[in-house]
Amino acid sequence: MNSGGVSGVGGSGSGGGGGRCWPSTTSVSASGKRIQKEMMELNADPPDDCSAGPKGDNLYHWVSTLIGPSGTPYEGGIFFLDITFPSDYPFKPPKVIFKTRIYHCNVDSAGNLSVDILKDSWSPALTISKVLLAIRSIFTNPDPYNALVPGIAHLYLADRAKHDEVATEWTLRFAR
Amino acid sequence: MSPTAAKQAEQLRLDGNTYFNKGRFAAAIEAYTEAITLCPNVPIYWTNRALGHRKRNNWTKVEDDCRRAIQLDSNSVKAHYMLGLALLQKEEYAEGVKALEKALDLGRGANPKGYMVEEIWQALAKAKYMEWEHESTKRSWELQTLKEACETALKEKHLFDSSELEGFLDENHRSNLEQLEALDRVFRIAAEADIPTDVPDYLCCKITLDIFRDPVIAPSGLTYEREVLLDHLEKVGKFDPITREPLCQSQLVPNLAIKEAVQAFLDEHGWAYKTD
Repeated sequence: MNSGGVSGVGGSGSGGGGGRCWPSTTSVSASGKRIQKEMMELNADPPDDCSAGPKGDNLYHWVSTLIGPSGTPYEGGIFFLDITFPSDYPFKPPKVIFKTRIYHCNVDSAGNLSVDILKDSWSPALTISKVLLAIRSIFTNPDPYNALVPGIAHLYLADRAKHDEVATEWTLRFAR
Repeated sequence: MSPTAAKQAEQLRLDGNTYFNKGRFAAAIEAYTEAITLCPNVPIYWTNRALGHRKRNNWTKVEDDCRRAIQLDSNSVKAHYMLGLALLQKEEYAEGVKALEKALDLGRGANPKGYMVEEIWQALAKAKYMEWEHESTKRSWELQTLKEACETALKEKHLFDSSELEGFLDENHRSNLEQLEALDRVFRIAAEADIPTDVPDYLCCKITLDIFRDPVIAPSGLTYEREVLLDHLEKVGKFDPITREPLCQSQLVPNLAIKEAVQAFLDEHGWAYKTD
């Protein structure tokens, strides 16, 4: 093709007036656009018991809240999450951290969580709204075989009643 | 063309590029002009000079140089692209859009992920959006005027009928109100295509969440935007983003039906060209 063409075609006066400069690498603006679309979709049709949105002016840094589902030891708790989008989102998963302490075998004391779609099973066709649904489902179905805190997983398998009792206590203490 | 002339011209082009990158556009144009004088049949010399003229907003010269470049190489993406921009500047809207569409097709064929493709698309979408803004304002004004005229006529007919049909006043009044409501409905429907809403999901890529530009279909039957799907295959993995079945680039086929559906939608709803 046209090898040796002058670089830096992006510049003033494309289209009819208006000197907007288009970046020659589109990755950052493409991720921003996609995040913006997700924000609009979340506002128009939010999933049950979840909310999420940018923390401040930075589109790449969100906060989210999840409400503990009834029938679980997390019932009535309000859990805050920090969401950070990488600059090559959606080709890399968002980073999600629990800010509220929770007694759960898939969430460690730093708030890191083990959810497969946020790691090896990530796909760019997933959205934050699907991620929140997946996180919500670990409230109802902890995955002790994929645990970050082996002690809690052990108790969950060995003495479910005791596990639920501690989890309920933590919910009352930290998430209310 | 003698080999020495060709060599000299090539050196002049490189000099021109150096000037260009330093922002010295007049000097760059001069160098390209000398290269053209030595070897007038090299299309890149013409497109490079056109780029220089573009930087100086000399659109007539951009147009001339691009036309020459196209004569020499009808597949030059840059020549069609800058010709399109020059024609838009001259407010030759239809021809400008045609040149940009040609550039887009050629650009996608040559390098679907190149930054040129994105840039051409932006210029094209912007031109189409401005055209829609202009036309839809005109249409909405026309509809408004026509609606007011119809309402006045219906009201006058009502007054006339009332004076003629004594005894049926209630019924006459009711049918008049119904007609006014129906009129309102008809005009609302007529204006609907120009009211920006959401693009239907089936015309949007599941990764970009945006309306398709260059849709390709995977063996799963799912359609994706070509550029981001190629990025996905390269950066994330060789699998279908939704079904997770193994997938490689050679299995992708353009989805012409969706492409046509998108074009039909855009022709009807120009607001969907809005890119930000």
